[in-house]
Amino acid sequence: MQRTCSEINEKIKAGKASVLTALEAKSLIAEKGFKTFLNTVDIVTTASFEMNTNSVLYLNFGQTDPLIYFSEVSINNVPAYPAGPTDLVLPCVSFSKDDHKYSGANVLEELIKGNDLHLKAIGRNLEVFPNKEFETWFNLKNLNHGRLLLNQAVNQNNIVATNSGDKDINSHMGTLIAHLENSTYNSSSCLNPLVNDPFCKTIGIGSRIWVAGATGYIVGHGSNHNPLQKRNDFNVPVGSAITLSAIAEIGNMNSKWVRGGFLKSFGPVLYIGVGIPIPVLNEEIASSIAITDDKIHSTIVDFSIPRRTKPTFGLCTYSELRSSTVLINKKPTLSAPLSSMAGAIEITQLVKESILSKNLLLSEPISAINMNVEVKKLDSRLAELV
Amino acid sequence: MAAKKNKKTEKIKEQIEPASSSLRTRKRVILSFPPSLVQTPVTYMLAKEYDIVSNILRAEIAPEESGKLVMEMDGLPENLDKAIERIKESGIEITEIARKVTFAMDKCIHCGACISVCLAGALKLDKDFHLEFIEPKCTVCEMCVTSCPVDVVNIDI
Repeated sequence: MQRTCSEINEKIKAGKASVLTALEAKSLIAEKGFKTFLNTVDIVTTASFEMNTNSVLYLNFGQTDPLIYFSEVSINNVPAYPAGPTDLVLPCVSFSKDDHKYSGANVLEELIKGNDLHLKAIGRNLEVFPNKEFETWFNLKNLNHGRLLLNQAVNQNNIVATNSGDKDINSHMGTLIAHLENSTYNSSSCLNPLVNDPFCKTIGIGSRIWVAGATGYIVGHGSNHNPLQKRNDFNVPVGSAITLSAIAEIGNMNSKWVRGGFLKSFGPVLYIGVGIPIPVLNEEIASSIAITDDKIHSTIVDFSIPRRTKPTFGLCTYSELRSSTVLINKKPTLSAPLSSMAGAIEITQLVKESILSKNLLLSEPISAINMNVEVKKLDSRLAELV
Repeated sequence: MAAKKNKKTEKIKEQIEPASSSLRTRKRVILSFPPSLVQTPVTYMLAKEYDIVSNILRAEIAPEESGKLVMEMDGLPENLDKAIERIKESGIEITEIARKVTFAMDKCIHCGACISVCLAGALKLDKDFHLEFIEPKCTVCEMCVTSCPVDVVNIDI
């Protein structure tokens, strides 16, 4: 059975495409077998609703009178960085000067909700841009455009964090209680797009995806991209591996899927919903979609040592993790997720609906994701290398 | 007839089964002692008759003067109620400091960060991966309040 993207798109336009969410696809395979799935289903929708720190918001304002060239700017007291006369870059992890819990991610959430925000700018006072100071209230409608760059829109897998030390640790993986009392994991496992397509056979640069209700595009590999990560017997990496970078216009986003958050003693995070449809082009792709939680492994990492290389406690499967108790060092340990599975399930449903209503068509990648990149280490060096 | 039998067996069960630790809850109270009752050994009575562990948080009692005691009582819910009634009858004024964890479920994203710190087991995901709060198990340790990334958990006083 072979299909192409354009064939499936014709089917979508004719209202004849058969679309299933990842969960529906897996239960169909379990009930009616792999052959039925391969022969009847055209598209499977996958999603993640995970924590993100590598995101940047790009805002383009109209000109003021007299003209201004931004030099120091804040939005709701959150520092933003000038990127041209009236252009701003706002990292989601930039936080307010008077409330460290209020960040760029919260600004993004409020913008999408349509709330009014306070802009305070100091101009460079140039000959043609003489405006020295400017203050205003604005909302999404007053912007020329706003674009979100998610530099780690999707992460193929993530580690499991735990703490064998004597002191509780507040980390980017939540609060880890001492003496292996708890562990946290951060992946939508069997719903994750890159678990269902582990070698990026259908996802590539230019792929059209769903970002928080708007249409987004994959622009390449993302932060900490590590395609050479060790894989298990079912081709799924056992730790953080392939990451994808995506852009989307914020205008059409739904604030339900863009949430600013704050982790204690760590800082701001952004929860963003991403959905990717995977075309069932051939048997190989179909067999990778058949994967279930018991075949996806992750590495348990001890966070008690704050170094680049940390000790590990071996592997465990996601079905163990989702049972809420996992054995670490022979000790039953409470395990809890940090990414929203309920959100991911809802997103797969929404993506399915937008395909069925002909709002989201498949797109063939313009170029493949670079699968031969090594993760670099940043070490200190005392002099220039000649 | 059948209903009566059930009641009887329930009573027997209550007597046989030891107080399971997961059902214990905590209540914070303020006791105001009039001068005549300052010498009453309240915590001993609570431990002996109601199996209540009392943790004194603040005490201002001097002999022959009125006194104040702020403490946390840890025990089975029905024992706590009985003990409070008993203290009232003895003439000591008792006021509860009600503390309760509440979840603004409409804003919750069901990520599960609060579950990871709930060692009392009061939080879990249901079969559809939505957050479920089992309030009787909650010990109001407040770990979930600070662990929530989207500020959904609150303490009601």
